Amino acid sequence: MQQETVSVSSLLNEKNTLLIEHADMQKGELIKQLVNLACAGLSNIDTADILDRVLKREESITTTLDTGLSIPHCRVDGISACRAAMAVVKDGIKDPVADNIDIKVMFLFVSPSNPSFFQAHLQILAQLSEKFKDSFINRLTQASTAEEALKIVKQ
Amino acid sequence: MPDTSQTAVPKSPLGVKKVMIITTAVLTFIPFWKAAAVVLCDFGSSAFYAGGIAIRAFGPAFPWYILIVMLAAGPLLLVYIESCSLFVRGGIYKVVKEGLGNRMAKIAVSAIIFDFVLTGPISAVSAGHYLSGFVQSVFSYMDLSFPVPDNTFAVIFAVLCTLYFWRQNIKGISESADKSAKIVIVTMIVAIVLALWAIGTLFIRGGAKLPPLKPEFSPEALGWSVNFSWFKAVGLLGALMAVGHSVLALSGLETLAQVYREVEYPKIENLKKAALTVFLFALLFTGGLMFLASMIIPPELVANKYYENLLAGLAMELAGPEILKILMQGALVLCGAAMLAGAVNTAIVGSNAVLNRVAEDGILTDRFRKIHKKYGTTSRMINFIVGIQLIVILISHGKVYVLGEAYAFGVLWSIVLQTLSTILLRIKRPQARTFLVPFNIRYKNFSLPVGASVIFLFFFSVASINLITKRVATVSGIAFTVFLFTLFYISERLNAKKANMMFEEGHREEINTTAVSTLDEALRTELAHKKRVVIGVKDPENMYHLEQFLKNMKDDSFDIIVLYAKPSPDTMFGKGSLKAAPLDDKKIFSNVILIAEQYGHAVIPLMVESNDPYYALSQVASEADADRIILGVSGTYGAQDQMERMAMAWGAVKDKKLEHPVTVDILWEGREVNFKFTV
Repeated sequence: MQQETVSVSSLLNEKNTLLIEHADMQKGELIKQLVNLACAGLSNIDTADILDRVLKREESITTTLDTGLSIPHCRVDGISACRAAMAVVKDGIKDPVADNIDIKVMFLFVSPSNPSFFQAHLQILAQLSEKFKDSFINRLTQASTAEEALKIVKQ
Repeated sequence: MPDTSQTAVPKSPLGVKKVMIITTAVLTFIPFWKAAAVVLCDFGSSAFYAGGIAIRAFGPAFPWYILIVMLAAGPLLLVYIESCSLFVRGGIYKVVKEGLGNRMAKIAVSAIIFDFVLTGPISAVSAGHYLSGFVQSVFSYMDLSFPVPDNTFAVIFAVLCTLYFWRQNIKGISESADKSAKIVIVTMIVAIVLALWAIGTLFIRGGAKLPPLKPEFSPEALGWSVNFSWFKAVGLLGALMAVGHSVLALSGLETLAQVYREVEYPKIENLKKAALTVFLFALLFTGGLMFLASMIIPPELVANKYYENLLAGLAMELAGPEILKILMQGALVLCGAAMLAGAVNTAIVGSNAVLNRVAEDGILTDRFRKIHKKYGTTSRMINFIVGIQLIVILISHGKVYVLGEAYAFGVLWSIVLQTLSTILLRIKRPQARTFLVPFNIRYKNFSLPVGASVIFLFFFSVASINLITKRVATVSGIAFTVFLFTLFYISERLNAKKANMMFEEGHREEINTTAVSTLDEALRTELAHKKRVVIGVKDPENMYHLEQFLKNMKDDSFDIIVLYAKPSPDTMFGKGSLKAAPLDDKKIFSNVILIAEQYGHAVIPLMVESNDPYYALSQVASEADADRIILGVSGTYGAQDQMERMAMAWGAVKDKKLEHPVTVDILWEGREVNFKFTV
């Protein structure tokens, strides 16, 4: 079993990190935006298909934690490494399943569907929920630019 | 129940909201020697009265026939082991129901309850006689001429003893296996001293003779046989008659089936060891002491003075100073009273347990099954049994022999039906068993149960002969069995609709929950091992993962926390999941306990209220410093999605560096998904 460790901060850069002051959109729309950012530059990938998979996964066990972190994700064929995108939503957006929770940070990632990558996929989820706790999310929402938010993540 | 939701809420509103400890009768399991002690406290107690009753029936040959009965206990124990290997909560009702059907099961239960309503009184009255005999010996030694009214004393003691255990059972206080073990160990020491002293006495006095082999029956002991010219109390027939009059020495052996659910892993191996211990102890204790008593006590004293307290007579007729003999008698009386009192309790516990099994099938009406408001026990069943026992004690006027005359019908016919059922189950349930009564002849695909059939024929012969020779037992036994069977029949009819529903529901354990403030409080006193596993349960019909873990666990090196995270109203999984959630925690934990019993591994059942079961599992695992988390596959979500949520929850809960890896396993039939949180 391959035990590849992926650092979540290494998945982010200026191009795939967003900072949104007022999100006048639904969760699904934000997911779509992040899928496009995460898969940018991948010529052999159908982003519509990935969006479908992510949204389908969202219909299963919720990927939102009470801290305000949402981790939409899916596993796809045709990629050999993880791709991600992050949005910090200062005012938060409602989660349609857990309506008492505002999503403040959405970290979307896709990982290779290769079974040997499943452990790394799970490690990313564990890392994200460990890292993005209340105080960390508060720091992110206080950032004034996407670059600043990215810097906080990479610290 | 105090509302502890405020104190229990962690920093984050996600996860555990309320913590509840589950308490129930069986959560820990006992080693074989403690199981043997529990059985011996009941079965061994018959040594204190069986000899006295047998000598009144057929004279000084009694030790031989009690020895035969003790030897027959061995094969009978094998039958019990086989039936236990089929049903963890075997008991006579289940075995006979499966083997011979509902009607015969009701007859068997009626018969065994007749046994219980006599075992209690016979033990209590006998203990009273031992005590009064001891008081008389002390008075006599002190030259006090204060006559103790023997029978009255025995009746008063028996009533008080029965009422004491009635109260204990109403309160739901069970006697511990530790206490039984202490009683048996002390009794064993006293018995060894007594036996050595008795052997010494035989050497000093010389000329000791073994008792005669031929029974000399009293007119009462011949019963109706005098009306049949062909029925001669000689030869094999006479021997079987004598065995029939000695069979009350088997009283309490059925406790082995009752105690099986409490036996630890590996269950059947431990049950075999317990059975062997019981057999050897009873053979030497009951069988051996009967011979010594008959060889030391002059026959006229056995028949006239010591028939109610034979072993006390053995102590008093030893060679040596009077004061030492009184001390020996005192020690013996102490052990005897403790064992006999234990048998009084077991008779109440046993009959209540059997009636509960019957009630679970919906045979008894609600009126009968009503639970005690304060203690949660089936008080009406206990009252019913104890009420009859008190009447029996009063009718007996404190005469053990009168009770002995009525005895044996229930024990013998319940043995006959259970043995026959075990044989028939070989055909009805031909699948492999972990234990078979030995001596089976295999021919092609068919196995002829020779050993079990011989055991059945032996007890069937004795039971049939007893029908003729033990008039009181036959009349009272049949009358009581018909009475109880009719009661069951009428009750079942009245309860017919509910019975079907209860049958569907199956067994329900009496579960009590106590709210505590924190997880630490719930776990602190429970954790005893370095390795810990948290097993999440939710669906009472999906416990494959729990079963697999317990089945494959070869030792008791783990603390096994079985967690049910009951969804709280603010669940993270949408309001729909609340409706879908099985809120019947009794059913969930009843099944958990059944599985734990099946494999004999202790579990720590825990219930928490939580808006995210994965978060709750992670919190409990983190608090317990667990090495493993095991859960079953969800019927709604796939195993991979579950594992993803588990990873998220674990990360959210983790607030310190791990000192050891934690493995998460999701198990379902033939498949599993694993994940390891590394250090």
